Formats: sequence, C-alpha cells, structure tokens
Amino acid sequence: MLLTIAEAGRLIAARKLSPVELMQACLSRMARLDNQLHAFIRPDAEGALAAARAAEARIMKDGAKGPLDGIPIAHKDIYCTAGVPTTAHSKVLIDHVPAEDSVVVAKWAAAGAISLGKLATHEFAFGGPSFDLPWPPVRNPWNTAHFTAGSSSGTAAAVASGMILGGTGSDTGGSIRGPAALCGIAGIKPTYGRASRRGVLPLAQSLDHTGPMAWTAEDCAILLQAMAGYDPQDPASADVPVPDYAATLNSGVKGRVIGLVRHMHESDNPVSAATLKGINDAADTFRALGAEVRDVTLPSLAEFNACGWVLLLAEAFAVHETWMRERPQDYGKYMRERLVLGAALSAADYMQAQKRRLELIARSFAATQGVDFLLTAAAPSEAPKIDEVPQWGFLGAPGFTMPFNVTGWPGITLCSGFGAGGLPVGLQLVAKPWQEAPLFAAAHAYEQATEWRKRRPAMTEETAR
Amino acid sequence: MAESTAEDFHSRVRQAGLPFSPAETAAILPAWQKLEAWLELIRTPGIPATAEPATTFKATP
Repeated sequence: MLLTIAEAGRLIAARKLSPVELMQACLSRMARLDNQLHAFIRPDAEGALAAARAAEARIMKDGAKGPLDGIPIAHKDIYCTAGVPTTAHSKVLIDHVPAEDSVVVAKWAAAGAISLGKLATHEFAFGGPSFDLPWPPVRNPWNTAHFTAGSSSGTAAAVASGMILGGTGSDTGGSIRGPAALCGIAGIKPTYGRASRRGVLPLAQSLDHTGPMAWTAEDCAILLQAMAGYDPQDPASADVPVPDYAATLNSGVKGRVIGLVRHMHESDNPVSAATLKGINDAADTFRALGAEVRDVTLPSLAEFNACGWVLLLAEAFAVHETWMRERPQDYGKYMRERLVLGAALSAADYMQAQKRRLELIARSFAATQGVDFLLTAAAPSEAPKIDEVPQWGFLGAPGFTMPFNVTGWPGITLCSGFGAGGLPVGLQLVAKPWQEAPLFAAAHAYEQATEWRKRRPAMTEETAR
Repeated sequence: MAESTAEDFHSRVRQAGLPFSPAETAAILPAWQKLEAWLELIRTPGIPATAEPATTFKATP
C-alpha cells in the first residue's frame, strides 16, 4: 500500500510505522521501477537507509519532530546539495559539487525529511525532453512510452510511482504544474517570493519559483510549510508571514467564489474532451461544496505567453551567456538552440515585455475582484508520446501555466480524471498572492470529494503485490 | 514588422557572441520568426513610452 506524507507522518509519530521499513519500501520500488522511468540521476540508497535508521532511533527515543520526520523525499538536480554533485542534468555542470545546501534542502532536512538522492530534470530546467544529455529523459509511470512534461520530470515520476512521497520542483513557466498534471499528482507553484530560491540554479530569476510536488494537496501543504518563509539573502523573497496551512486545510470552499476562466481552455487553447470534462466536473463539485462559480475573463493566454516567454528567454540567456559563448557543444540540442532565441532578443524587447507584464498583472487583478480562486486547465490533454514532443512546442499553442508566473500568483495542479489513453489529466486552481492557505483548503476539499487519489499507476500495483 | 531574414537573424546571434554557423542559425530561424510574432503582440496595442516596467525597484534594504 502506498502512503501519503500525511498518513505516513501520523503513523511514524504514533510509532506504528518504522521509518526504516518505509524507506526500504521506497528503495524497493526504486530498484524495480527506475530502470524504466529514469527519475533518479543520482540515487543514494545507502545514505537514505542510514538516515532512516538514525531517524528511527531518534524518534523512538524523543518522538517525531513533525509530519516530515522520517519521510522519504528527493530533490530536483538544480537544488544545490553540499558535497553532492548538482548538475542540472547537464554536461555543462557535470563536475559541479556545491559547498552548501540550498535553503529549501536544508529546511526539509531540518524537518526530518530524508533524501533518496537527486532527480532528473530537463536540462537547466528548460531543455527537454532530450536524448543527448548525460542521462536519459524521464518516462511517465502511467505509460512509459509517454512524456512526463517538464522540467520537474524526475520529481513527478518518482512521486507518481511511489519511489518518494514528495519532492522539490521549480516552476518558471509551468515546470511544477505541467509535470504534476501529466503524471497525475499534485504540485503547487506558490506566490513569487514565498519560498527561497537561494542555492537553486536559476532559469529566469523574475519568473523562478521553488515549490513542492506530492500525491495530494495536503502533502503539498505539509511540504510547503517546511520550505516557505522569508530569506533576506534571496532578493525576491518577501517578508510575509507564513500561515499554518494544516490549521485551515479542512475549511472547505463554502462561500468562496471561483472564477472559471473558460476562454483559456475553450478558445485560447482548446483542451481535450477529458481535460474539459475534468474542469467542468470540478466546477460542479465546487458548487456542490458550497462555492459560487462564475465566468471571468482575463487577458488572453497568447498575451501572457508572449510576455512570459520573452522574459524567460532573455533572462535565461543572461544566465548562460558565458557558457554559450565558450562551450555551446556541452549543451543538449534543445537547450542550446532555445538559448539562441534569448541571445537574439534586444534590451528593448525585454523591457517592453516587463512593461506589458505590469499591465497584465493590473488587468488580472481588475478582472478578478471579488473572486477567490481561478479554475482552468494545467495542460491541454493527457501526455503525448515522448518521441512526439516538438522541440518548439512552447512557441505553439499558448500554455496554461505561464500566466501565473507572469503575475506571480499561486497555482496548484490537481488530478481531475483520465483520458482515453488511460493517462491522467489535470486542472489548475489559482489564488491571489499569499493565499496558499485557502488554496490548499479548496484543493483538499476537491480531492476529498473525488475518487482520483485512489488510483495509482499500474506499475506500482504490481510492485505492491 | 517584417519577419527577419536568415541573414538578419544570423547577424543578431553573432552580435551576441555565439559561435554559430549560418546553417545552424538558419535551422532555428522558424522558431525565431514565431517569437517575433509574440514580440509584435507584446507591443500591440502600443505601450506608453512612460509606462513603468515590472522591474522597477524600491530603494529599501
């Protein structure tokens, strides 16, 4: 049986579940499944087991520190880990060994979470799925011929397959919410500035967010609780109090107003039948739970994506400029060629996008007065086959996640059903800045009212027998 | 705004200091032309010259 973080944490705290046995179960799944999934690029089974033994001895003596104590997790390989290579899944940083942990890695370790190692990502959180990198791209646990989306691909596959109970992701244009949707898990991009990015390799700093991925919204709340908070050494970090997410998790949506951003998923980028059904059924579920659902109109997906991608490409090139001049051959083809677009942009292009961004944010606030949450798609459909993903897909039909990197508003992806091919589809629920607590409550209410959290990939059921 | 030619685009890439051949940049040109359409969208309707960007900062610690 696969446990959530909340379930395992309660059992460990009650001394009814051994952290060592929990870790052994995760390592067993890793040993059996990861040769098909490629979620880990640097597993550390020995270290994880030793840490679980130490945690078990401490918990038996002193009790658990909290809900993450003894919980198996892992980190996307753009999160720096002291003394452990952090490569961004790239030959460019193949020998990069950080001296310090990133803030989030240190915070989760302090909360008792135990890392099983480093997880695959699209190269530098952008270039993928690529077959010309030092490690292969990640496969989808629901069907290994299919894509996971990215860039937090390893985290999504590892969580969905039960190799870990939660993990770190990063989200610059949808890199948490996209893979969460295609792998049928939950993932939140918190408000810009909510969680520190210090020690995380950047993609585009004005859009970069750190955030957690897990099986449920409740687990994401537990993980975000342990990673959120002001970091004066991260210039984007905001000195805003972090509420107790568990305290309001069961507060539901009664009296809340949900804005259905119908134009985004019906006309701006029409979604698949299964994705549309998931969104419309979710609207009905929220109504049944006591919320009011009304249509809202935001700026178009095209406007948000044009703005966001110009910012992302320009800022990403600024990060990679020196390496791109001196050793472009060390990048995979997708990352290298995408960065060239950023190189060709002008300073005026970039600043006009930053001007448009402020206007888009203002229009978004104006269009959502009196609205608590927004409901739309997280991805257009279930996962495509991994060898059918176009290199320049992000320049095609505009995506559903970038708008909330542009605004910085928090957004969570939840599983909302399954498509004709048997792979999951997802929805996206978005809140105003700093409103993660009510967002978690709404997401939790939806998951409790639906059946989607009871279904796991078939490969995990085989493992459980 | 007219689409860039292969020569225009290659010139931009070389100006950025990237050691790419004309053939390599020509392969990326269709993607650049899509991005150019987005650049046009960003500038439409026109943005007031005095509009503040999202990068405006506060001189606080």
